[in-house]
Amino acid sequence: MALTNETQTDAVLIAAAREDAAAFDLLYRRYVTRVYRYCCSRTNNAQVAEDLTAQSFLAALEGIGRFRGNGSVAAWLFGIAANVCKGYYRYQKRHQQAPLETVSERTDMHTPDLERRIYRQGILDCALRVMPELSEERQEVLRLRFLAGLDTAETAAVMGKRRGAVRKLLSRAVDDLRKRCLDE
Amino acid sequence: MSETDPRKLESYLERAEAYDGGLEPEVERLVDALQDWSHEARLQPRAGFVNEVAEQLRRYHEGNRIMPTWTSRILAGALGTVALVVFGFIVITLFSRGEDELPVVELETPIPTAATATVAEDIIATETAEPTATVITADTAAPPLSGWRWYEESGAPGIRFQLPQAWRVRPSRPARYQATDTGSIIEVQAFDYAGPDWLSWVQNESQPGYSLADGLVRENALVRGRPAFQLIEVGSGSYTMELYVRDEGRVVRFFFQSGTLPRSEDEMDILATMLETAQFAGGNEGETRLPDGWQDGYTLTVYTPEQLEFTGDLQTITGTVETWQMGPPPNEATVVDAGGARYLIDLQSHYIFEGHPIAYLAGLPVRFEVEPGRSIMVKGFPSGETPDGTPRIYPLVVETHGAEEQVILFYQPLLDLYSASARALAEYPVSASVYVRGPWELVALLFDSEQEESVTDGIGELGANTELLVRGTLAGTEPPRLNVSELYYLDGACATVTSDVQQCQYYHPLRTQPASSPTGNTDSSAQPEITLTLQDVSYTQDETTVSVQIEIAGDRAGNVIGASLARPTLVDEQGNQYEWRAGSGNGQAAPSGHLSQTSDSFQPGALGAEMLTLQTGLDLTAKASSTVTLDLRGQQPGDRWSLDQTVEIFGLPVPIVEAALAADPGAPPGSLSLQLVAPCVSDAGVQLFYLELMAEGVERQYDGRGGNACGDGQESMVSTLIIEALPDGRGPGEMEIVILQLAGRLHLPGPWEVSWEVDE
Repeated sequence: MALTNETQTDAVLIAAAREDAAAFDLLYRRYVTRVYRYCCSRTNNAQVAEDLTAQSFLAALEGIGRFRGNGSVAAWLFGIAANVCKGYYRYQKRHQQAPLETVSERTDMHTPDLERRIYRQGILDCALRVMPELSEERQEVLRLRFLAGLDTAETAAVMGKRRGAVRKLLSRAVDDLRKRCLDE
Repeated sequence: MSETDPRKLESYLERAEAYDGGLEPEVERLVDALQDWSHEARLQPRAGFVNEVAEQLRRYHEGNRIMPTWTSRILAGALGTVALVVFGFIVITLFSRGEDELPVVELETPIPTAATATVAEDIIATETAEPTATVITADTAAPPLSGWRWYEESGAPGIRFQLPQAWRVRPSRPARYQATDTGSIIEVQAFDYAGPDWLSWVQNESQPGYSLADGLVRENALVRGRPAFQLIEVGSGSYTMELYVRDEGRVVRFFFQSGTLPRSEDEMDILATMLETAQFAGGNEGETRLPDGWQDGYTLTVYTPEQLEFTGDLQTITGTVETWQMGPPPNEATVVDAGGARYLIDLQSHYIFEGHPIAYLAGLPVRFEVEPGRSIMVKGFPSGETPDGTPRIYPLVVETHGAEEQVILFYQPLLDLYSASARALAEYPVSASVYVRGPWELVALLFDSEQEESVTDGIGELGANTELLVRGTLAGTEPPRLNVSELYYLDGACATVTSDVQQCQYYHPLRTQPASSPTGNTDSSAQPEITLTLQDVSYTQDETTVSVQIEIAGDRAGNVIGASLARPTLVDEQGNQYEWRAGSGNGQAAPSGHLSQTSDSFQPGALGAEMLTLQTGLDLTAKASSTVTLDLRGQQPGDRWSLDQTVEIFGLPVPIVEAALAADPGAPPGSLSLQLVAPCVSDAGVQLFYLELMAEGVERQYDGRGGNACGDGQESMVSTLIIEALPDGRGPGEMEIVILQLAGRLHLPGPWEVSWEVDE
């Protein structure tokens, strides 16, 4: 077995990770921020997102042998994260907890051009404001594509849809946002 | 507003060269804005979070080195299993939170235990919503066993249980009671449920960490006279155990997770004693009785429909590939024959998952990508048709012909004799490893007489209809014969969990190999702390496989992650050497230290020898942690300076040779970017592959890289730590850098040697 390092592919790392904590750690660090963002977006609560992110990776670690190797690791991980978040919502529903805290702080855009940044910020502000009005499926495809950074095939695997269906779903979600934010 | 073209949108998103600008500008701007979504400050994890979880995962991994893959696999089918395992975790951390309770993240305050309470030993104190001790005086509680201590969960009031004092209480909800030496965990929870059908509630509402067909969830145990369901026959035999007890208006869940594989017998005794002596507020007159075999339940999960229904005989289709979709569903292909007829080929593999890890990645008998237009041959059974009338084929084998040789693109790993004749085995490639399931009267025909005798000797007379499951390679086609390497017989019910997953109780493993058992001295001790034990040898026409257990004891054993044979040689009494081919292994923490199981294959022919000798070195993967003190006074970004500090991995020195203050363009302004440098291969021969740092006493720090590659040609490993801000009032000076984990591989030449006689 080759040594585990950052240059290894996901498939090599996940094969090694069964017995090698360092390999799983590399895999974890490769994806943890994306998984956190995804969970945070779904819950709007940083503490809950931390909890769900940790749960997702624990579940991945526990179930690592179940990864059959016939799909991408990213899709597998986000499939787990999606299920963790679903479980959280089921729990929320059952226990009728108070609405989740919402956080709207937004400061860092990593975009050097101020004018462009403000313009894009405005569009993004609107998109995020109206996003809860979209169907859950459309929200999910946006999260998986833009926050999780999954490609079409990986998104399709997580959502249990064909790639063509994901492409259509995404284009409709984008059109929906455009209609609400740019065609006003 | 026209609709956005889905493919152009995809092309734009992926910045494909093929994108020709066909999207409307507004759509491009919207997509660009959404690309910034991930940069939102609120979506960034707080400083320290990544490392905190990494540490949790590392501890978890260390406590459970062999992933309980079979436990997971038996839970259910692909996504279903994931969801349900996740539910198990959610049960642990989320479900147990009452509305008034604190979030988990606020439960950092250590929960007082009896050790901090002020009353005598037979006192209980653990988990409450507010971290204060719950004390039960000696007047109201029976004295604990010697060296044990009573506990009571705030979430399960009125239920007292005792555990050895050596078990620690870890603050979580519910509390985790953990064995200090093995890491095993016990949890006790109570759920309010007053309805009549408590098993249905367990099955459907409690979000248990498993999925079972309804018929398999039934009362099968007693705890202090209370009806109970012990999840032991299906799914928890070797790793976790769940026991649900009906106690008046609630259901109590006892959960055990072993920190070692195999489990410690002592811990099984502890678990049994804990249940036998548990005290319930409503009385404790009744008996405690767990189902037979609760310690070693064994289950296989069969990933196949219960009944495959074919609509015709085996047929061969020759044609060209139109589509081939593997990986993301659907796993299927379409093929067009010379006459223009189209067929849909089902490429879903059906598997058997057993109670120990198998090599998924290496063993998948399928090609993931096949280009359209390729000529292929499909041998399989017709299995109906799609809604548009395309015939469906359930393939046994899909093959093509390359320039010089036959190429197998797919074969079905499971042949079900309830649906197909054993003659179909003749279609399989000679080297294929295949499972065959069916009644004994049919499976027996696949054995030669000697093997059949071996089987019946092992379990007595099998009924003609007893269901068997065998794994082997094809040994002949007229009549079909298998070289059987694994055999299981069914002694219980199977139940369908989903449309393509069954769970079967009591699939018992039987040994049909090796042809001879190792005899003589099977222990070899080249170093006192490391013992190799020859466990098994099997001989087939294809290979000789040697299974060895490596046991490492002593103080250093806890730092061993894995061990494997290094450059093993197999030699017979004539001096004939059998070439090593491949090896695999798994390591785990064990009560005695570290335990690895290895399996190494050699070229065949050894069965003809009288005496065989295995000689080998060892490769260890081990880790270490340490602290390095850096003097930052006078150092500026860009400075490098030599260090002369050493960390030991399994007793072998690894020098830390250099430190640097780097100018890292990715680091936040004003932060320090510290680097430590170590040689990829130390003079002692340790090959590093991981180095992770943390600064002592500094709140905001990042180590996003977690260790750098030591790839081909690279001489040094560099690990970077970014410290965003030093604590108030603390300037650059001496700083303690904690090496959280330094991991590497090292070679112990030994040699270890063991010889054994080869029986006829």
